[in-house]
Amino acid sequence: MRKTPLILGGMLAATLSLPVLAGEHQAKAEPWSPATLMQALQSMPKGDAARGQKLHEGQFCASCHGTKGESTTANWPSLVGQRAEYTYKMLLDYKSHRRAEDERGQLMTHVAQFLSEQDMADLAAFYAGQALPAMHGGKDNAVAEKLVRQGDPTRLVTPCAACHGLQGQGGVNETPALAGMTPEYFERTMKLYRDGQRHNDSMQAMRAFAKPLTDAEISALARYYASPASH
Amino acid sequence: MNNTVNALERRHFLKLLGASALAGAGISGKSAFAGTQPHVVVIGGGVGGATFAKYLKLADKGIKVTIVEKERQYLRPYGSSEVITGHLTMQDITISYDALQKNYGIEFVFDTVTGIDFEGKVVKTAGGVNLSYDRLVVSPGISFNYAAIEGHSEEVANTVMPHAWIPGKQTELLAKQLKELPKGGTVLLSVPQNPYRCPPGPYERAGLIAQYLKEHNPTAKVIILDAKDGFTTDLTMLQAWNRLYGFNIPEGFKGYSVEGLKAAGFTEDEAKRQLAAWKPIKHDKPGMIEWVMGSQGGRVIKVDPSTKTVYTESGEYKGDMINIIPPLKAGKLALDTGLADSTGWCPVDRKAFESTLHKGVHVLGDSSIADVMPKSGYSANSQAKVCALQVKALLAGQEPAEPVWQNTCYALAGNQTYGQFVADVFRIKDGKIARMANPRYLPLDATPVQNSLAALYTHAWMKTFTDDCFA
Repeated sequence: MRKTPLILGGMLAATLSLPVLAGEHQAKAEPWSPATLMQALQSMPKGDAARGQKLHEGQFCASCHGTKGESTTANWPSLVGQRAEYTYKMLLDYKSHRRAEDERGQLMTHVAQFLSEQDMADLAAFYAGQALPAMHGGKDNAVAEKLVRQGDPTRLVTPCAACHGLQGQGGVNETPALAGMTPEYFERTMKLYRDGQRHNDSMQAMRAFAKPLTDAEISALARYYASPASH
Repeated sequence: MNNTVNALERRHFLKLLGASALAGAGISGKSAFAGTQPHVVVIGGGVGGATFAKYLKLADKGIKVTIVEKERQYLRPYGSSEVITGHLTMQDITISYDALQKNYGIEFVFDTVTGIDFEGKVVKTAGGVNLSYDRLVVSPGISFNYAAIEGHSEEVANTVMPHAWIPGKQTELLAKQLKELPKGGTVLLSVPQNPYRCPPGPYERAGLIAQYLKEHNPTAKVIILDAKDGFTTDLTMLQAWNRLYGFNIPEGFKGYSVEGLKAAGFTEDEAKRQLAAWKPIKHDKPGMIEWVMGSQGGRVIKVDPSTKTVYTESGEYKGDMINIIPPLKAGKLALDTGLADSTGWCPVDRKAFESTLHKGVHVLGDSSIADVMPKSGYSANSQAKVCALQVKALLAGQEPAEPVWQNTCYALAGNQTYGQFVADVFRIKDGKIARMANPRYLPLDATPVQNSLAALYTHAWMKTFTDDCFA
């Protein structure tokens, strides 16, 4: 394995501000339709996890996402145990600007320009091949427990577990695993969905579910899915 | 794997260091100096002075902090070469002092310092202000040793052969000269001997100019007249020029060897692997950039502005645009007040950067003698943060802590999408500042993503770093 210096980037990560570089001005792709998304996922190449690991190490992925994708900082999502379809779709979405919710997103947009669909599938296979982290769950967290298992019919909030699984293991196709997710990232993402700044969810589903949620509920859900170690 | 873990541990360590260093020294709302507000005066509102003032206020609001600075606004030197090529404007590199005053309660005296009474602990200004201090921090930057080059002077630099190594009118002059360069013209750029501000800077500038010429004046060329045979980031910079500008690696350059890579912090195995993975391209024609090394007689000894000729130890060069960076010394204030020694730089006790010539005075940034720690904005910022905590401790009658510093120099290879960096951690060893053994550069087989991200980080850093120092 290579010994590569990592950029001493505490400040960088804290207030990342990225200029848009030449070549990233292409028009934004059309939002996914159920048909186009299904087609994209069906034509996802077979992933090679070993090659994915090499890509992970040679593209600065580890600087933010951890040596295997187990994010070690508050700012960035954990990737270990993630469903391959989700990772693959996110990389496609970054590359096509469907996902570009904030300045942090621009960094991934930049990186994704260098990735082929095979590269994306290989990276996805590398993360998917690792064990899903544990999650804290509903202990001492009645607010989240109820939202996850029962939802809130009065506000048309579907139970989270209906799609993301009772163990936070994810569902079909691109529905992501949530177990062990970095809580700060989880909160930020839910608020970005709620405010409509992140809009690469198919059928606008997450935007709809997140819309009625309060900050306190989002925070409770973040603790629910976070790894026990982060509590 | 384990190597990556090391790197991560190192990063984690740095994170801890930043957090715990501040926490340990007591960053809190409470002041340790209730009723006896000490006064710390800072001369110079550059990176070192501004960062020091801000972090001292963060460490203890009860300390009165006054910055004496002659300019109303700051022009940042880091990244200012991009003004020469038109990627940035002067406005883009202009920084206001408003946030430091409003957000942290730092007081400003916009005036020129005329003298320091070290015995009486008073700073005197041209406007007649006398500032008494308990501790004084001086961060006066650099000045130019024109006398080291025959025929050169400040007047010549202002009119014909700018250095633009402190941004200002000379930066604009250089930008104008580049724009008006005749077709197929020659740009001369001289690099002084060590130590000087921003070690990769002259080469980044050469690359940026080459990139500009590639687009606007493709038969023109850049000749670097150097007093040295190597420079920080040379391994990755020369590699980039080899790829981008048809640059042939000079035979005299010894960096691409096992020894050269080991000196850059790589293991022997890693060095061998990299050397096998990358071989320089041998271009048939000379490229846009020519590098005349020190051992080839590249050091500039004389200039003639009337004929636009530069004389080096080995020959003479005529240029249409001539960027002479003269040898440097400590800022004028440090020289005038006797804080510098015969080397032209300011000796300090490394632990708290306290002057060894005048007690109670700390010298930060480019003017100080900091051994292997480069004269960079990042270094000055790191020194200032450590010094703020040390000064707080000293004011409280405590011993300064054992310091750790860091530095990263980002440098563009030329265009806006090919970057590189050098990253280091420093500690005191035998009374001097030493580099911790770690790989410092990107490897020779860095991926295009890594080079591209390094460029992106360069620009992100400019903004976040500016905020860290001035906002």
